Amino acid sequence: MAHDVLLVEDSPTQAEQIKHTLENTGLTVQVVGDGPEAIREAMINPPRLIVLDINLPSMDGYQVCRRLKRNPDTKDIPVIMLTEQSSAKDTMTGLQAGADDYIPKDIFAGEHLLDTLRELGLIE
Amino acid sequence: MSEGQRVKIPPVMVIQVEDSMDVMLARNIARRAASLLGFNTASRAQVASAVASLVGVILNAGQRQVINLHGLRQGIDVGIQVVCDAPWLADASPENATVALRAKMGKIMDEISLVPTAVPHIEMVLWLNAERSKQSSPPHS
Repeated sequence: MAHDVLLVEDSPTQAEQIKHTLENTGLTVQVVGDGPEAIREAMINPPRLIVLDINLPSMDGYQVCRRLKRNPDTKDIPVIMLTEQSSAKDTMTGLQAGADDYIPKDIFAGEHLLDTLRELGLIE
Repeated sequence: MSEGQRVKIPPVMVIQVEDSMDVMLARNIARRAASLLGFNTASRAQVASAVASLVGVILNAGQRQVINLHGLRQGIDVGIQVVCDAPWLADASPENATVALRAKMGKIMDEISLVPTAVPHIEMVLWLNAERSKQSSPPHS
C-alpha cells in the first residue's frame, strides 16, 4: 500500500523524529534506510512525497534523486532533501539533481518542512 | 532582464550577524523574504543557502555585520537582493574579491559582486522568473 510520504533516512533516531513531525500533520509515512530500496519502493508504491537524506549507505541522496527524476514513473513525485550538508555547493547539487526543496537539519527544519508541505498542497 | 533603475521594494528584512548561531536564523529570514516575493521552494533554498554562506564569510573575517535583505524591482523584473558591508575587503581588488565570492557560492545567485564604495559592500541578487516562481510549480495531488 502506498503511503503519503516515503522517508529515506538511515538513522533510526532521526527517522523517528521526522516521521513524528510528518505524522502529526495526518500524513502516513513509510521509512526506508537506503537508496536502492527507496527507488524500488517509489516505483512499486508511488508516494505523494519523498523526503530524502543525503548520507545514505550504498548510494547517496543526490544519486537517488537523479534516478527518481530520470524515471518516467517517479519523476513527478516531489523530493525534499533534508540534510546536514548545507553549503551553497551542496544546495546547488541537490537542486540540480531535481530536488524540489533542500532543507538543512537545523532548529527550523520542522517548520520549513511543514511550509513546503503546504506549498506542495500535501497539507492545509 | 529589463532596463531601468533598480528600486528597493518590500519586504525589507535585517539580519544581525554576531556568532555562528545566527546562521540558522539567517536562513530562516532569507526563506521568509524569498517566499514573500513569490519564489518557489527550490529558489528559497538557494537564497537561504547564499545568505548562510555570507554569514560564514562574515564570521570567518572575524566581523559582526548586518545583512540587509529586500525585494528589488527593475522594470518589470522582480528579485531579491542581499547586501552587506564588507570593510574587511577595503584593501582587496573588487574583481578578485568578486571572483573569490563566486568561487565560494558557485551559481547559487544570479549576481554576486563586491561594490567598491567608501565601505565596500557585497551585493547578491536572485531574479524571479517563471521557473523560480510559486505560480509555476506543478500541482501535486
